[in-house]
Amino acid sequence: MPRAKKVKQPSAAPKRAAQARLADALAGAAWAEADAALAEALTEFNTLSAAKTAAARKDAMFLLGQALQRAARKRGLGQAPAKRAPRRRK
Amino acid sequence: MSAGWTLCIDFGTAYSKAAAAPSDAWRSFDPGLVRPLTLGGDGAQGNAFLLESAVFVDNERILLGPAAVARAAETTGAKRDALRSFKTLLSVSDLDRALNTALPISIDPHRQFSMGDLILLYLGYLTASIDRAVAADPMLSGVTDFERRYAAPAWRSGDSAGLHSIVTRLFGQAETLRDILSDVLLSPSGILLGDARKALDRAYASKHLADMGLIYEATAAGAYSSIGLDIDAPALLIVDMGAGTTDIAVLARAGARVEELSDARVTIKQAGDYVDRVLANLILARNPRVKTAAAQGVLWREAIAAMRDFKESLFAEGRAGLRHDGRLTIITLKELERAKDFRAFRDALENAYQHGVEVARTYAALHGRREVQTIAVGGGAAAPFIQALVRQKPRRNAGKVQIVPRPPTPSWVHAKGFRGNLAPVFPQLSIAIGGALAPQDMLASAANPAADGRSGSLAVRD
Repeated sequence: MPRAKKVKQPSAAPKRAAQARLADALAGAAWAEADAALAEALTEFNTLSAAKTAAARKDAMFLLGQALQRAARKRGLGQAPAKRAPRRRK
Repeated sequence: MSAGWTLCIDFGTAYSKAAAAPSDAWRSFDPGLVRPLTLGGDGAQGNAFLLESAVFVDNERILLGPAAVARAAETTGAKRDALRSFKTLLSVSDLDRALNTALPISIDPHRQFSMGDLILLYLGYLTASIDRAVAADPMLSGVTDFERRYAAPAWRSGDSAGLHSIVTRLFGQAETLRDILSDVLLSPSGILLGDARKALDRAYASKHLADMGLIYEATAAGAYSSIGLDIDAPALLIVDMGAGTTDIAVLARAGARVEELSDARVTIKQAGDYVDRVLANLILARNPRVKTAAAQGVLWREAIAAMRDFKESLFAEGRAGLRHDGRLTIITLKELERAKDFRAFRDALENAYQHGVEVARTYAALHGRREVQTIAVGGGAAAPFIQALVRQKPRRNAGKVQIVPRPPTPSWVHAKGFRGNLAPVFPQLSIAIGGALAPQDMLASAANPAADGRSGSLAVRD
């Protein structure tokens, strides 16, 4: 296979600009993935607001939490499951 | 060694991805020079790094990528489908025959195109999308020539050289197609049927072969996980759980050279799709009020449609919920682990892993070492049972082998320059990135015969 032509490596300033541009595009991609989960969370929030029974509120709360956790993961914001959360000091 | 750039294409089941890296990255690694490509273009809806692998034959035009997916969604109920999942072709034993297959009327109502025609049009579109992304990247726009590669799963047959030549011919024809159709390929309004036919006929007449290397997905995973690290462990065991199959492979290092130990390779026919079905069955079992076959069919389809997100929540949080007909069904990880079908899959997985560890251990011992590095890759890498698997010690540990699991996302992905934005999307881009980072020694070719032999496989793909 023929070798690729030699290409000058970018100098510091253009490299930083190119890196910033890539980071912005990656952020956009992660937000696009998170958007769907946030839209779902909004739907569940509306369901929660309109819930008439305790059981319906509990279900909506579960799904709201699930959608928010998913949105956070899509943005790289890891969070331990609730059961592992540290206890509050008394 | 050249100071040029290498570009790798990951021709995925649902999405295609591509990335570039300096060709000497393996020797002097700088994460800031890793360039995943925005194949969707600047104005892309959704994740610009993913290009939908889809072709839709409409009444007068052929639509490609996201336009094909959108049009197929509009025609739900009209018994019309987009052609998708054509990546599976990369694993068939008779690729030429598969390409000549006629399409069902739901995909091509005009009866004018073969499977190969539509795949060639898609590859032309993918090639044009890569050119556009390279031109838009300030670090790559001045590069006039790339060393190109594509990533593929392990071949079913031993004739990987024959299959590789068909793929390079296809990509060569796709480049001709791109030159003929030019910007029309990237137009969301698609290509007129007559123009597509004429361009295809001219592309088929071309003898141009694309100059491309082949890298196995497991090898690409080995590259992104160990680049830039001072690792001297001689063997890396890779568990790759995709949608259709789970592959266990062992990469061996001998000096700078990296090759696959074919004796270790096992392909299990259960993977992500199988787990989906186990979970959908659990959801059905938890809804006895859904009695008729028709109602169960509706619930099943809803569950399968939501399964990607459902599994993500289940694996990350230990439980996940699905609302159907106003009622919430919650499934826990423990329930999945108790399911008979799942246990059968896990047993097969553990046996294959232990076999791989045994081969890796023998190789490590030959080099006077005790460590075996392990890593999980693919869509199922985050599953707790896969993460537990890659930490499992050998059943018979006479040589006191030390298992050293590697993180699914390597630490360089968190480099400051990415500002925390590469890690969330890394699992989807990892194979293209790993394929671009890998040195030429890692390519599957005549120069690396160990990667081509599959005679030791205990199981094979469909």
